[in-house]
Amino acid sequence: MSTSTGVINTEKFDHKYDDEIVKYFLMATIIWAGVALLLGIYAALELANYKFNLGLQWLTFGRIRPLHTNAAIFAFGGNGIFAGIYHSSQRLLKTRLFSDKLSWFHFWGWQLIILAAAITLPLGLTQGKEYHELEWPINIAVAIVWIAFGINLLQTIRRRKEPHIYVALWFYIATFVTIALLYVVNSIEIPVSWFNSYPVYAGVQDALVQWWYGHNAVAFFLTTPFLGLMYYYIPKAVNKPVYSYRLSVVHFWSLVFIYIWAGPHHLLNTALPEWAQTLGVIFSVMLWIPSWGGMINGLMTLRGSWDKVKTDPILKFLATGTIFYGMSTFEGPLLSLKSVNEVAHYSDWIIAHVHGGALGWNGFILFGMVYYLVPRLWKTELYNKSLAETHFWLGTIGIVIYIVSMWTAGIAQSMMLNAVDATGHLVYPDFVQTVVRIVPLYYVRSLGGLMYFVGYLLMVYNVVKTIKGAPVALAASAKREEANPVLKLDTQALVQESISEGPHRVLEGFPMVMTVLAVAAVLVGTMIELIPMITSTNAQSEEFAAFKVKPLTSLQLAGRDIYVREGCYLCHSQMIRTTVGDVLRYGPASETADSMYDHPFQWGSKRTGPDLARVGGKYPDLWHVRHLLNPRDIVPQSIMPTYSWLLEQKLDLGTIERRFSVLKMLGVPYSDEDVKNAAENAKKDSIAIAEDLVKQGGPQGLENKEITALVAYLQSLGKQTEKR
Amino acid sequence: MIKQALQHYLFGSASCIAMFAFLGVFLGTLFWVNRKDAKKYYSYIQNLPLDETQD
Ligand code: HEC
Repeated sequence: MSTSTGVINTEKFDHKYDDEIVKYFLMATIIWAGVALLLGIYAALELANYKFNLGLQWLTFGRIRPLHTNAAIFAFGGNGIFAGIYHSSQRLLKTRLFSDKLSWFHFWGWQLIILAAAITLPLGLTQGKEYHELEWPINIAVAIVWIAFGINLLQTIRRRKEPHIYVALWFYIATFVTIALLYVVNSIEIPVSWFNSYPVYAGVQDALVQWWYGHNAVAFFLTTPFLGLMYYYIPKAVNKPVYSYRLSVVHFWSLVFIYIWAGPHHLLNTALPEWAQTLGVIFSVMLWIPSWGGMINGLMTLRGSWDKVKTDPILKFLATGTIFYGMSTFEGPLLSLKSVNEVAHYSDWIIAHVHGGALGWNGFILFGMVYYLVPRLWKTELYNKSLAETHFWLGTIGIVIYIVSMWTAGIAQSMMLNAVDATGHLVYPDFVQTVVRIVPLYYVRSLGGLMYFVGYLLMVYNVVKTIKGAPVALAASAKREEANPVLKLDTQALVQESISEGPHRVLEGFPMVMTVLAVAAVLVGTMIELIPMITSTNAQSEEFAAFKVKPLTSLQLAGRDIYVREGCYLCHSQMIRTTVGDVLRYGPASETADSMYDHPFQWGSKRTGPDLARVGGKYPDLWHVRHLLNPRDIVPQSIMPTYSWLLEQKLDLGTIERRFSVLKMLGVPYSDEDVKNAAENAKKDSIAIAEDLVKQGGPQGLENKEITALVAYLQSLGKQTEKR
Repeated sequence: MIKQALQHYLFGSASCIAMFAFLGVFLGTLFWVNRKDAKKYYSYIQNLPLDETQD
């Protein structure tokens, strides 16, 4: 390749950048942003008042919330980074994207995946793991499309006309390889049917793998690509090189190396082994340094140009986005301290934290990029600058309202939940006492979201007007012109020749070397955390030898699958932490053994309702039936949705034998008999529960209805484990 | 054997090993970016986004 010697082969130069694909990804970004934001506001309102789900199962919080997060991360965020990566890479590499076919396959494939998510999630087809809800056929599609993207990116880099690889591209490469690794490892699951599967990991292992994935999806999907965009678009917008390129190199390697370890901070004070928690805390705190190194580098690029920030909406969005990055990455390490985490975890504080990141950092960087790209791609001026200015202020104030309301709600509720009086008793023994206090804040939060959304609508209007206003003739000529940017090749070649040999070129200029080093950096943390966990927490290990754990019966298992389908885990945890507040409220802390057969684990990440790890036996069956039919019949101030359809829908036992045999294969101690009789046993148990309900004065005719399975499952919680 | 080694050795010192690994990466990068011939390279490469032929 000509590039390795630094001599540019002018004949081979392909001048045409593919901006058509960039435009498509950009439009998709804008459209999906609206969907994600609307779903967010809707989910927020559902928490403020359950009636917003209109009594329809497809719209309940447990099914809408995954749709919202997937839309925000993968549809809005995903399309946005693809637009930015494809736009900036071509320019940094001075070549057209490797393959038009791959680009379009990537684009349409990604949109189809989003569509599949939009259909399957409301139907309750989910794996029950956060940000990894999509079922296995869609996982495969994601992997294929992601690899298409990777090939397109790496091949474009390989065929570059610029011998050197700017740091933004390193961030893109790290994004591609690490997400591929995370996604594949967290997707190892055994299909039960076309839209149902069980992960091979169970309990604590599943928890660690899931949060290794979940945390690093934030790192390598919502951080590294955005940092790449930051390192490209801030210098572009301010027309100055990045403050310190050296710092960007240190930033990159430290970030990539450290991030991968921090996953366990999602599992502090839980049954996760202590050593893993400690690793998570240490690395989370260390993460503060490279994160701030990056933020400072971004902001210092603006030194001497702050007057421009005042007048240029693009810079306003990019600079403020970077500041939000700094805020979130300061808050993150703070939240990883065990004592802070005791208060913050499971509470709305975490919701505030992620929205500072998502709305402030990701959203604002992408909006800045939209305002930068649309006029340039359509060769015109932005329709209305002050409208963009208004968008910025609405967005900023919206985020502040959102964050402050959720900080308040989270801290207030946790303080109440943990409050103990002089006699050692809980001050607020009923969970719902703490809920009623924060419901008003749920409305305030919706208002913040609404403001952000209105700002977004102004952007849509502005973009449409800008594109419409682009003179047709000009646009056509622009197209031709754009197709032939004149390159000052000779002068460039001269400069490059002098520096294209040497060690920096070798280590920083070859994509393969970079890729291998980046993979090595993330593998170190991955191996040191995951391998000991998987070897030390299996059925034969000491941890479990002290306990006898009964696996679920077939009816209970069917109920568990309904629990997953309805997204109960999005409001309820099944993990009593080792903290005083938790133990006083819910009973002895959860053991690792409690969830050793749980594929997937259901520890949860947010307690909008109480922990359910030991709810079995706490109430009679009829209580649960009435509660699920309408929680307010029992707890008047409850905000839990109604689940009336569970009393009507017939229990689907079509795949129960297969489910049993898959779990047996994965190590759950079922006998062949158990598998063979799974359906029979479930029916028998269901009838028994239904008869009992009638005896207790409950409704008739519930045999073989879904509710019996769910109640059987709820009654099993905390009852399966016995000390030997 | 390996399992025991993992349990008794690695778990306790995982944080230490990890810290040293990171120090290695960090100091290595720091040394690397401050090498004598780095300046020319970086002053060229940092201007790549600003190349006017790109837009
Ligand atoms: C929107 C959040 C939300 C969702 C989704 C949700 N719940 Fe609840 N749940 C609550 C709240 C709040 C409470 C406390 C008030 C009450 O008892 O109704 C609660 C209470 C409970 C309780 C009583 C716990 C106790 O110890 O008193 C059970 C059992 C329960 N939920 C089961 C479920 C099941 C099963 C699902 C899924 C089908 C579910 N919940 C879905 C919010 C939710």
